[in-house]
This record gives sequence, C-alpha cells and structure tokens, in this order.
Amino acid sequence: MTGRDPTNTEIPHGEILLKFAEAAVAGGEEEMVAARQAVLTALGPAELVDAAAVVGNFERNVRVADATGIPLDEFLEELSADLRSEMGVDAFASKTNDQQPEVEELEGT
Amino acid sequence: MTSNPIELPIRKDLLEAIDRAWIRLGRPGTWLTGEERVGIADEARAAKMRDLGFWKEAAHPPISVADSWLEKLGGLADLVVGLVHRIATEASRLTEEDYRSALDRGLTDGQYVEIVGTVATIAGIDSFHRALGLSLRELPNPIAGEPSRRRPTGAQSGGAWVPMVERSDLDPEDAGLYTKDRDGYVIRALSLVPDEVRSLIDQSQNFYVRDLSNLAEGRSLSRPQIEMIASRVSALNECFY
Repeated sequence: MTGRDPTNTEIPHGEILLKFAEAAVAGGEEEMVAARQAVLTALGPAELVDAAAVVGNFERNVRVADATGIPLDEFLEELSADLRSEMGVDAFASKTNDQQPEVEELEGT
Repeated sequence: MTSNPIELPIRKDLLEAIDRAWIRLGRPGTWLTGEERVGIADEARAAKMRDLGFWKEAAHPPISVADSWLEKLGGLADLVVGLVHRIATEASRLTEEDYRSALDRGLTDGQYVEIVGTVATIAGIDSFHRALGLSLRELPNPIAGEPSRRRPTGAQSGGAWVPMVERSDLDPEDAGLYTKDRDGYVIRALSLVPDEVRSLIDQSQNFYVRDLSNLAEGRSLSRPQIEMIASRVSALNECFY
C-alpha cells in the first residue's frame, strides 16, 4: 500500500467495514469475532450479511482472475487507473497477467 | 468455528444461490466427475482453513469423500492437488508457466478451467460462512455419472492463459450465457466450461449485486460501501482485478 492511510475513509462506517474485510480474508477467529460484532453494532445484521456476501463474491472472483491469466477489462482500467496506482495494486504479482498475448492455436482438450 | 451464533437475516435469494451451487458441486461436470468435484472442493477447503490457522495439519477433519477420486486421477493426482492448494491459498502467485506446465503434464485446459471454477466456488461460499461465524456447510454427496465433455466450438486462445469464447462465437446452446451487463474478462475466463460461467453469474448476482447498473438495489449497504469491501478483498489477495 502507498499514499494515504487506507483506513481513513469518508464512506460511512468505512473503517469498520475495511476491518471486517481484512478479518474475513486473513484474520484469525478472535479478529473475525470482533470485526463481525463491530459491523453488527454499527450497521446491523442485514448489513453484516451483505458485507459477508461481497467478501465471498470477491474471494471467488480473485481466484478466477488470477488462475486464468485474464487482463483487466479496458473500462475498468480507465476507471481505476489512479486508484490502482495509489493503492499499489500495479505492483501485485498477478498484474503481470494483465497483458494481451498473441492469438495462438487452440489448446488441446 | 462457531455454529450459527446469532439469528441472521440471510436473504432468500442468497440461500437459494448457495443451494444451487451446492447441488451443482456434487454433480458430474463437463470434464470432472461429481466425486472429483467434491474431492477438489474438500482439498481446497482444507488448504484454506489450514492457511488461516483454523485447522491444524494433523487435525484435518475427515473428508467427505473417499480418497478414491485421487486414485482414479492416477499420475495427475499430485498435480491436481498442488494446483488446488495454490488456487485456494496463493492464486496471485500462479503464472502462465504453471498453467502451461500443467497441460504439458497431461491436464487438459477444460479440466483446468473446471478446477478453477470449483475451487473459486468453495472459496467464496466458505468465506461467506466464515465471515458470519456460521459452520462450514457439509460438502454434498457426489452423484454418479459421466462428465458431458462438451467443448464450446468457438473457444479461442488469446486474451488469457486459457481459451475463452467471445459473445459472437457462442454455440446455440450457450446463446444466453452472457447477460447484458456480465461479459467481462472475469466471466469469459471460465467460458471454456459454460456451466462454470452460469454458476459464476448466478452467484455474482446474489452475493454481489443483481444489476451492475444499479449496485445498491436490494442491498443494505450503499454502493461505495460495497465497492470498498470489494476493493479491499482484491487488494488483500494481491489481485489486480
């Protein structure tokens, strides 16, 4: 990460939701329990469910993207160029997938 | 893991999407049997839980299917297990060389794509349960039967490591595969196995948002809150996407 403090967000309850995402992706049981309770207290049970569902959706999508070597969609690249640079995303190993290869013969089945 | 510690208002559409994914997980796929699909899901779950420190290496809970699925894979068993573990725990470190090496060792591109879809599915659904403090759902019993082995005729290399199918090249039976707002690379990535695309879109519409042009429809979180969580999950996984 580079630049500004990623927990310093102007999005309502942003810091709580970021900690929840962090606990869900890489946290232990204790951290997860605390993060879950914080979302419940500050936002509510329906918001907790939606937050967990978004985590689940992107825990799935990142694996699809990284394991298949897809590039970033053009519209996303244009929209997120500044943000990706600021967050240090361009330095990730999987960024090396983000290049258009030459068209090749079909792989065998 | 704790077991349903609080009464959670889990949306009906979300529960139904999980049910559909679970039913599909146990069925024969396009290139893998039901037994192989459940075995892969079990390996992926164990690898991730050990990686997070929830399960100890020596205390791996009994798997739901016999190890016979690995025996049937024969010489490919180590390769498949290794790939499953890497997709589950360090997907961002995978390279095109890893993919090409897997093909050189005898795995087909269709099998590879179906393995990716299967691991990604269990990763998404398990993380949802873990985040809510719910017990991980018991894996389905495999259903006997042969994979369909149907390869889309319009699959072409170029654009990703794996062959993909453009909207204009879809076979008639896959005509409605891509929705009007869901045909980006992350969707097309699995198009060598159209049923994996159908499952991905189904889960995306219910876990994330139904309509990408109206991100907060039917959700308790605002669009900025949703996108902030999404961005953080991708960044923590060191994924550029």
